[in-house]
Amino acid sequence: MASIPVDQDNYLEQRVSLINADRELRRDWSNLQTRSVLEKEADEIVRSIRAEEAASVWKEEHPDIPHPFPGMEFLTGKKIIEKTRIFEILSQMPKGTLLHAHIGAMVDTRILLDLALQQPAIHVRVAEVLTIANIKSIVPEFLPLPMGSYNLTGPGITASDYIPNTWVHIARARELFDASFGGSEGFDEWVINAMTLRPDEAYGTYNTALKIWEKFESTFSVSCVLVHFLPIFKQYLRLFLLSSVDDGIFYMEPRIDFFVADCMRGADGELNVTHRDIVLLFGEAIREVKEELEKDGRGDKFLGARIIYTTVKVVAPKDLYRYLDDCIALKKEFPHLIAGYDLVGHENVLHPLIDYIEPFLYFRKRQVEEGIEIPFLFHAGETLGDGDATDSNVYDAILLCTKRIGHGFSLVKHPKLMQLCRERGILLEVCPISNEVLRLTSSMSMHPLPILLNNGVPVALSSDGPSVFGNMGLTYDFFQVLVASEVSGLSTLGVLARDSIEFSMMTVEEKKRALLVWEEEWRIFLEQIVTRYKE
Amino acid sequence: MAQFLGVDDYLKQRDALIQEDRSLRREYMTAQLRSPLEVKADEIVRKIRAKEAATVWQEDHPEILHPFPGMEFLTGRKIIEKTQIFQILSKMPKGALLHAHLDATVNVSLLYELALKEQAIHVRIPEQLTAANIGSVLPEFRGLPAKSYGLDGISLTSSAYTPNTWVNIARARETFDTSLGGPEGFDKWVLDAMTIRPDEAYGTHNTVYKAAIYLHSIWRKFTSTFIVAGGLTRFMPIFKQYLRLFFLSSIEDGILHVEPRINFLSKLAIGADGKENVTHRDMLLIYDKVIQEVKAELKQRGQENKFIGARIIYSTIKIITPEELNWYLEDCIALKKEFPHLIAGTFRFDLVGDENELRPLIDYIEPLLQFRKRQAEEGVDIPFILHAGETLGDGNLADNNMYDAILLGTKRIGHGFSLVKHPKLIETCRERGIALEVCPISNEILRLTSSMPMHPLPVLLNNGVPVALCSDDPSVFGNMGLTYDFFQVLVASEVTGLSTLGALARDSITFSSMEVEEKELARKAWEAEWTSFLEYIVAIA
Ligand SMILES: [Zn+2]
Ligand SMILES: [Zn+2]
Repeated sequence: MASIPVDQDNYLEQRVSLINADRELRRDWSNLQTRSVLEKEADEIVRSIRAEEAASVWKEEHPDIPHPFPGMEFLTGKKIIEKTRIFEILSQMPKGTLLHAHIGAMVDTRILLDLALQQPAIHVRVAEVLTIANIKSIVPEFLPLPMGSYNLTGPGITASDYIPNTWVHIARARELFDASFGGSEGFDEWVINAMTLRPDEAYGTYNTALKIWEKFESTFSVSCVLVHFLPIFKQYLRLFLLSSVDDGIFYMEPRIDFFVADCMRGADGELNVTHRDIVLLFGEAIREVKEELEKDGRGDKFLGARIIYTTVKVVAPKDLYRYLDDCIALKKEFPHLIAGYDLVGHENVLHPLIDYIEPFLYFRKRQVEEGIEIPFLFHAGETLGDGDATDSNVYDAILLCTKRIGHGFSLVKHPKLMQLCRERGILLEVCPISNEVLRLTSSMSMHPLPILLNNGVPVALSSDGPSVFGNMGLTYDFFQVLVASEVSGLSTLGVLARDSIEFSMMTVEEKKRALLVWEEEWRIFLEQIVTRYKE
Repeated sequence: MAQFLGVDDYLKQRDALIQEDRSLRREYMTAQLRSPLEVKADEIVRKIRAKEAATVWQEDHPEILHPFPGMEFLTGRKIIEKTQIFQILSKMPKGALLHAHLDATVNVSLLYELALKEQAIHVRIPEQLTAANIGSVLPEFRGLPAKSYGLDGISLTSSAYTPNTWVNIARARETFDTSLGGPEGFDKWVLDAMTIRPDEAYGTHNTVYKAAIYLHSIWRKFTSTFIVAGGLTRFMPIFKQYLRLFFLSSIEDGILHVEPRINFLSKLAIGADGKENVTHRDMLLIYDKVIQEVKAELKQRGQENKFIGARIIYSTIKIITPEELNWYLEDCIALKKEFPHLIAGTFRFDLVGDENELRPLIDYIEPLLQFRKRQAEEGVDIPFILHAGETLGDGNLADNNMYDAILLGTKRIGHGFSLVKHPKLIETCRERGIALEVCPISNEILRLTSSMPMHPLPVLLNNGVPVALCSDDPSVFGNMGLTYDFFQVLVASEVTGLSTLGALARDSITFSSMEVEEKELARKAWEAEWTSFLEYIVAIA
């Protein structure tokens, strides 16, 4: 590239070396030179199916989807996605680990509702009688009541004689739900809508990165009480682990919010569940699922799970110490279950990380004293801001030696920080669908992921809050990434999965085994593609 | 972590990291040298911006669903114009305008007024205009020879209208049926055909369908606006006045040098006599004459520093075959030899349809390399100033145009929207001084980004890529001058301040095609205006 090329051959030669130089930082780059013949063949098959579907499935007219295209808005395009062969293929892919997911949003809302309906303690109430006029704006409030307070009689929440704010047993409220609202099914729809984001909300009513959080947080406030009822929580954990395994995820590090967990109620409806109880329960769920899978001869499908201890950024800095001490105590008692520490919540309105510097420095000092290590795994840069407090969280996360960054959406604006991530091996937990539904990007084609990949920043794809967005498992997120780029191929996805293992908080030994297991499953996956989809 | 001695030490290291992260920024390099006056003005502007973000942009507007700074331009424009920031920026000396397509640089109502005064201008349509088809049928304009005037032609809206018959424009206006709004209905029909409306860009559902496919449909509308306006600007009596208006309105907005791209696809334009006999050479003579006239006028008013000059970027369209391109390349060389001071560079390729649909640069590699050879033979230097990377694609043909533009030694890149994906190319642009002509409002309306906060400009700035802000096609988008584009950039970032805008304006001069002495002159003129601008800001506070 010293000067302008003179002839066409020379030109084309220089062109190839320029493109190579431009892509050499990519983490799939060396792999492209060394990958197996099998992988190359499978990659080519997938690329040609992708191209074929871009010209067929994605060009068809859909009455309710005016402008379909690969990588389009997820909530609108989901129906088309599920019809594609690419989706079918990716659902079989071994995904590695799930590194960014919030425990309150991990199980399909329909299933959560079914769990709740079976509980005699769960009651529901509304602030005014539900009517056609207010059903869209009123959300259910749930609470497990102590046995003495169960209310199995009295009017339903749509009855004109319902006394506002009276607790009604959930199954009874469902049965009595007025036929003009769709009866029992109408009840289900109302509850599920309150726990998920609909396309008209994400792309209409709340269509900005700031406003969408109103609805997003409201979904959590509805489901939170159900999830944090011990008898449900136990089953919920089990279902989360099993459904992840079904999607090809063999290890997960969900974030459990111990600030929210303070509202966890026991079977008796009382606030008597300790954080220690929760961690014990988590350990138990892992054991049970492992045993179950081993019995089926599927032991390799699940290698374990860890908790990322989190609190919400609403906690005042002076009140954080209590949680940090709690986290240290839990880590000491359950070293194999606590993966790290994080603070969560809507970055744009809550405390920036810099507000917590003193407690963080204290946290570090205490760890040294106790001879333990609890790495930071911070959320940071989940914003469109440029140089505002939220964007600047990325500086703090890195200065505080975070091992990974949750989202890091704004990282691409920071050349120095990208370099540090690449050189120090700080992985970004990228959540494509979450970012799009929460309006940081309009579609996958506008997502900054290609910048990260071309700069060699380690990335793991994650689902964030799948029960709210509907992107259960990891297949949907892998799909969106694959179809929105012509550089990325199957080998790129393979490297993303491998990095999710590499940058997990598993021990060295565990990682070694995980990589072996994954490589074997990857090979089987590639073979399946070649045998099933070769024309 | 153990490396922190305490909170103070942490904050010190934090500051150092932030400085290092921003050290490539081009205004950062001069930040230490900023005058106290500039520091003060910058602070004032930041304060006003913060205040307006919390006031003007928080107010409820019945017809604007979710207002925020940097929002969709076509919807937010009314709010923008109410702000004090806009008022201030309209007085800012902007430097040079490096990316604008001549046919889309003058307010459409002015162009339309010019057209109405020309007896030679006629209009025709392929079918009688009705309430049913008025939204889709576009007017075609042309200057005719006197013998063909259709002064008493039949109304376009009459059932007696013979498709494709030319009718004098004033006559067509007068006879426009009252059921379609009469003469005002005609005005609206013509003006709509030359601009993009919010409901067209954003769809009836506000911001839902910002899709690659939608992009194409937006481009279709975009292209048709050019075809309509082109029928008028190809007529030399209009062309001449149009140029004058373009220069004057740019000067009015604080622009002191312009390098419009002129589309030379048609080998001949239409003269005052209605004959298609005006050569590219004739057009350049007119161009030169208008520059001299405007300069003389300004000199008379003692304002010669407001307008240093203008150049042309010779352009044609990618629909032509690689073989046909050779004629244009030779034409360009001939013009450059005769008017060395007017031809800044070449080529634009993508007028009809966008980069995503037309042939990639690589298809033209042979004639383009040949072009370099021919220049060496003729002893002229016509740098490429190429459009590239105006796409959301990752590794598709349009994205890959970036590689070719840079390999071909492009002097600047038009848009380069996808550059941020390419670490090596970013480095090359920074090190070789290849400036990006960034058109924020154009990118947003053509749906490459949903709003300014999603625009990749901060990535470019933090990587030290030279950038000049440009308006692209202001008559179509409504972002006349450069104030709107500067506005959108300023309000969508907290890193960017007045000094950043100053650096962008300075770079527009540095990376223009002016001669060394001209540049010096321009720089001096600009610095003087910049100081008065800063003084004005400090005075209003
Ligand atoms: Zn998260
Ligand atoms: Zn352009």
